[in-house]
Amino acid sequence: MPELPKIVIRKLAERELRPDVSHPDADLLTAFVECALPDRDRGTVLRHLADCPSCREIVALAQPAEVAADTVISPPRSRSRLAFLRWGALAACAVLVVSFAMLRQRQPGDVPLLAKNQTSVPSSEPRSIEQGSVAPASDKAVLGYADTGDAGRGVANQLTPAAPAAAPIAALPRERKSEAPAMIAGYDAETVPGTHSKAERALMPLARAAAPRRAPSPTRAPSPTNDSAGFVANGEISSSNVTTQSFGLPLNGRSVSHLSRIAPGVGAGAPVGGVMGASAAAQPSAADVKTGLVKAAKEKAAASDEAVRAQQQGLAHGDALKTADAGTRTGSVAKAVRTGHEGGIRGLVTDPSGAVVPDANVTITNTATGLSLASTTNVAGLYDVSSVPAGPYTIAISKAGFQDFVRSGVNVEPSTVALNATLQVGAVSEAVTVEAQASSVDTTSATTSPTTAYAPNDKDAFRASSEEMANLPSLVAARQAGIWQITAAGNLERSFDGGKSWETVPVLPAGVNPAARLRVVAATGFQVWVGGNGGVLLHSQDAGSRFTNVKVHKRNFALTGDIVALAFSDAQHGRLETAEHEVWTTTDGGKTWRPDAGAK
Amino acid sequence: MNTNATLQSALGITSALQPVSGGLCAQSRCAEWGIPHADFEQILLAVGAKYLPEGTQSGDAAAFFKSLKVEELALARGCAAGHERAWEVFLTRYREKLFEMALSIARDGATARELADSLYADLYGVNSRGERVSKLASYTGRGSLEGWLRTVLAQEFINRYRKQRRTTSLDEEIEQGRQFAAQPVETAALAAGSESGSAIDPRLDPSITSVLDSLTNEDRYVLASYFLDGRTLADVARTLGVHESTISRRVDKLARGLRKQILSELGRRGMTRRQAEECLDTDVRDLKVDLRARLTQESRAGTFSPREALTDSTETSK
Repeated sequence: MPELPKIVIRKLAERELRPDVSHPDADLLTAFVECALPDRDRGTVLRHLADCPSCREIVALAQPAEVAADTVISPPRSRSRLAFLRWGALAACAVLVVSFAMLRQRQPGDVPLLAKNQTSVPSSEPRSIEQGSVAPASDKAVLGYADTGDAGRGVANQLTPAAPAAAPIAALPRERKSEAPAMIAGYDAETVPGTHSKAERALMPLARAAAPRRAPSPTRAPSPTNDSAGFVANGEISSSNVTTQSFGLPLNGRSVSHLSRIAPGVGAGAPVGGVMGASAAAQPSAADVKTGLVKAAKEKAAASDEAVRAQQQGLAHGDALKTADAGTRTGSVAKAVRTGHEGGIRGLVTDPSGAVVPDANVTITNTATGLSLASTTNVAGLYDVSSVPAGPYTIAISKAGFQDFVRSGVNVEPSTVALNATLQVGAVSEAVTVEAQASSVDTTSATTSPTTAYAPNDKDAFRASSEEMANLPSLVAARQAGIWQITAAGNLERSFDGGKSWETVPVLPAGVNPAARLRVVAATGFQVWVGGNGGVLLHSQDAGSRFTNVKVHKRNFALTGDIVALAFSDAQHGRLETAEHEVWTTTDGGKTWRPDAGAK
Repeated sequence: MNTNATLQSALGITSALQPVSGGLCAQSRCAEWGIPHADFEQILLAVGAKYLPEGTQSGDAAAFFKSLKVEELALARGCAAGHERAWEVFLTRYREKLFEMALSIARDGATARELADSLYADLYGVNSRGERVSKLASYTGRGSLEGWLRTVLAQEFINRYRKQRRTTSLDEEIEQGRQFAAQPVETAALAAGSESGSAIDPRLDPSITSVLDSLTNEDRYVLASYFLDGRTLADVARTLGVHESTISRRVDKLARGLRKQILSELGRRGMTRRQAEECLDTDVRDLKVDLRARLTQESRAGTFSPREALTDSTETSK
């Protein structure tokens, strides 16, 4: 904060006390505010302003309130790198795979404390956290304990010797299932966030203790087969990154229903879950862990029941209880914390009458990677596909009796994108194309005809709310914005059909000299820039509906030459050149321009 | 300016206007608002006569005319003359904006409405005798019409504020929690300081003055806006049309430069470096205040003092 000696400020103020009789008129002040004064007049006005607080006040007040007219809406920015790192760090901690063994040696027949999976709601909880506890392959027999919604109980009991008949729940990525047979426990933590902290707290020391031991084997779970203790959750995420998501699950202890999802570029085997948690913590790459994969599958538990028993026998013999101290246990709580790379899509599906549409199939496809996730709307017509990697998506919503709703180019940011859809009732002609059962389609009602499926993709039928429009990426924007040209007569024209036909776009921003002939046009998406004679530069942020006049200047040095070349590499970076080979560039979407040092 | 010079100047302007007037008239679409080309030329001439100094080169004059927003000028003058269609267009373009602008200036719905309405009345400008004296007739097209409206609103707001200031009662001032002590004491001290200059080294004053005089207008404008008006760097930057960081660097540089220059000026007048620095860092509020000077200052406060109005309005506008 610069400071002036008070005495200097005083002297400055003194100059102002002298009454100033004549003030510049509104026209001059306006022109000053708009930087439209020639240097000589500008100097005069400035001299007055320097000494006249009233006029300074007027000038300040007369500033256009919405500088926004000349600013470019910057695209929604993904979270800062720091935020990402923070998430990463959190993920690294959380993904510490903690397993704790419950050995109930003395009550072998006892039913383990293994909790049923909590019912989980299709939740929009942004951090979907899944935990799985896994007994690692250690020389000690350790049984993974599935901590569930009854976390309190589980935690309380974690150190009691437990009969291992626990129905372990596997935490493993789908494609590794076969390789990592020893699944222990997982639970869908998404459901009861409140329980996590408790469970985690209890588990954390174990995980920490386990970490040093586990660290050296960063990516591979020790082979479980010949290991008596051998419950290994292989939490390694392979490159296909399939994760499970609890979504609309059945309620009993069976398991969450799975939505296979694509984890964002987690390739490269970033370790997650299972034993790997420890190593994840040990590796910087832990930050890359996108999701923990926990699949709570009681079936599996049952399947591995035998194995579990066998293990327990082994444990019993080995007096594992005595030896299974915290250091040798490796617990795993696979915790998939959504990191900065993920977002979600959710919305409400309604029919034209506004009634919600349950059970509509929602398929989202990442147009960049081709990965696809499916979901259905619930009874309230809501769908929620969370924890999807950021990127461009196509969303298709279909429901028998309705036209398909397809919206492409939905950009999923690391936040949840809302996309409400209104399904149009299928048209009769479309009904013809479907199968015989189509006769049952009631094309006026949105609720019938469960048997019919439509496939027409009528993009134009979509209703796009303004919110959706805002989410349209530039690709779609470009399509809608058309292509542009300046005619020889200096008119701005636009074509939506690749140049077959052109329409003239009126350019009438306030304050532009209509005599200034337009010469060049550049457009990126909705951002349209038009340059003309006399330094006229017009900018539209809405594909030409409204243009504003952009004053290109730096200090007193304003651009007055005829703009003969104009190029925007993206919405932010542009360059213009005048007939005199003056070059100005902008890096902030035209908010400020600077003359190229090399030119002129 | 004697008649002859005026005539010559007018002649020069006319000759400068001739070649461009046709294009300007066409461009202004003045005919649409019921202004014949000849009349519009007269308007342009009047504008030129108002702003162009004597002896303007005809090239400059032509450039000046070209820089005018003739389309808006024609519209404004059409409105001023009471042309129906012109008013229609004017209202379509600006009626809503007028209130928005007023709101952004007054920051209070009621005041804004009042401000906008009164400006509207001025613009429409039919006085009690039924004559049309529209304020729009004074628009000359140097800036955009919208900007002009905004400026006029701002002027109106300031004027109004001044008027109100005069009628604010003492009670209200107390209610508003105005600190009588703080601000006036400083001003008084400032005034006192200038009059009882003996409290400070007599060499200081001329040094500062000469350094301040050497500043460019823009620099002084920046300093005054920042240090006296308390505007933010962003505000100052916007009025000058430069980036905030530019102003930030500039204020920084100016402040440092000023100090350095004043010190060297003091040195030139025979002070040692240390003396000069001490002298410069004297807090004006620590100075012995001349009571008489202070009393004079307070009695003067009855009339409008631009500085005071400024301080107050800055507060409200914040």
